[in-house]
Amino acid sequence: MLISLLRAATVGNGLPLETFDERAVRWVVDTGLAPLFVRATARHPEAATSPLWPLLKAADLTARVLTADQMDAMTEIIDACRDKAPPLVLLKGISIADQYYPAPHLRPMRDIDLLVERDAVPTIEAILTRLGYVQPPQRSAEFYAKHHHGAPFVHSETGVWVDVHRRLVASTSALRADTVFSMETLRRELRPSTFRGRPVRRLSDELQIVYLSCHWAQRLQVVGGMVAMVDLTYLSRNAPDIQWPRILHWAQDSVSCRSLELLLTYLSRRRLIEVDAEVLQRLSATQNLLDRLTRDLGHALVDRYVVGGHDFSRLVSERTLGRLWRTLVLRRRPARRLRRPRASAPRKV
Amino acid sequence: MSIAEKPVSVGGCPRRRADLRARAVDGELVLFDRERQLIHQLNRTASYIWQRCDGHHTVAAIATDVAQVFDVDRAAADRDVAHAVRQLDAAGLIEMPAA
Repeated sequence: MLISLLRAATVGNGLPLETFDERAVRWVVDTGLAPLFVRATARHPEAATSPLWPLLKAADLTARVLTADQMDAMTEIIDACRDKAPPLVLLKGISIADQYYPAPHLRPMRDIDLLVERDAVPTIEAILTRLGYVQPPQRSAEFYAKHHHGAPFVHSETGVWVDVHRRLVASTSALRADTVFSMETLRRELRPSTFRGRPVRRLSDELQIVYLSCHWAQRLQVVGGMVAMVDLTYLSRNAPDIQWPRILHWAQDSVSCRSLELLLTYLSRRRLIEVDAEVLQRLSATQNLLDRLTRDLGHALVDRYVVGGHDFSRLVSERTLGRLWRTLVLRRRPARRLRRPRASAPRKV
Repeated sequence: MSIAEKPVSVGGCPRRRADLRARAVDGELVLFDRERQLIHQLNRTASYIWQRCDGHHTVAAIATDVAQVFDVDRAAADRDVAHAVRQLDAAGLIEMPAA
């Protein structure tokens, strides 16, 4: 049911609110996608008369206020960093909401993610401090030394959180070994861009697809796990010219291939994105029978818990789901060399 | 005592809460109360009144402004501003000076 909502919201068609039961609507609100829901259902004249409308409207208005604060904060940070560091690299929500969503508030954002060259980190952190951001004590310094970003900053007045990333993945992550996440690839895949007319940099669409897929799969979140799915849906619909051969090249012999295949096949099967069949076939060709079975199990888990919002039981708790996901779906075996699928011989029927 | 019955001192200077996040959405003011995790949407008149609650304007002065800006008679402005101030106070969006 929610897949039809995502489809309707991302292509701009309207859906009647009464199609959804209260549980589904509450799940949408919990996952941060209420603004998309409002966008998809608001055109129906009866929408505002639904008893669930105030809940959706409140979530939509809250998203508008919080996102506007985040966008203003981003602008202020860019201005403060100008001439003091290379143009900032925008990551995840703050980048994709601005670049590919019809309106930024449609994309829930917990924080602003920035990627900064290691040498520039102290400068950027000093600027954030000067702008009124503080780092509340959270985890140990040892933890952040191995992590891909430092301790988060928060602004005491606006409540906006900022993560300053030094790299895309943690040094302890299996993804670190992948070519796609090397510093060399990263430097090559940065694209000059603008944010409200100010110079910034963003990941190329291709690197963005791999990064979003891996980030989604490595830490499958039940609440909010749909956000990356919507990101990829908007990106694939609105990016001008995605170079899939480059993505396939990176996927070769990589850990990220599995995450990529998992998410892309899911979105394609649910008709949220259109990817050339050969791309999916080449990604799937790296998987053996067990891989394909666990991928299908992964899709079923996503359907039930991430999209469907089903309650956990005594048999499957959120913890056991996480364990199941890591052991079955994310087995850390590098993908085999990508092969072109062989055309099957015509069969007589 | 209901909100409508709560007396409002016309000589008092209500002050809007400084920690609220305010944004204009479709011409109306939306206030987000981060502390209580509540969102409020004010109509055009209430938005105007809330913005005038700066700790310097009395309720009577705000009513004078409302009568001019919205072209309503003074008695109606007094009544509407008093009612709005009561509601804003009850919702925790302004702070009323101690009587």
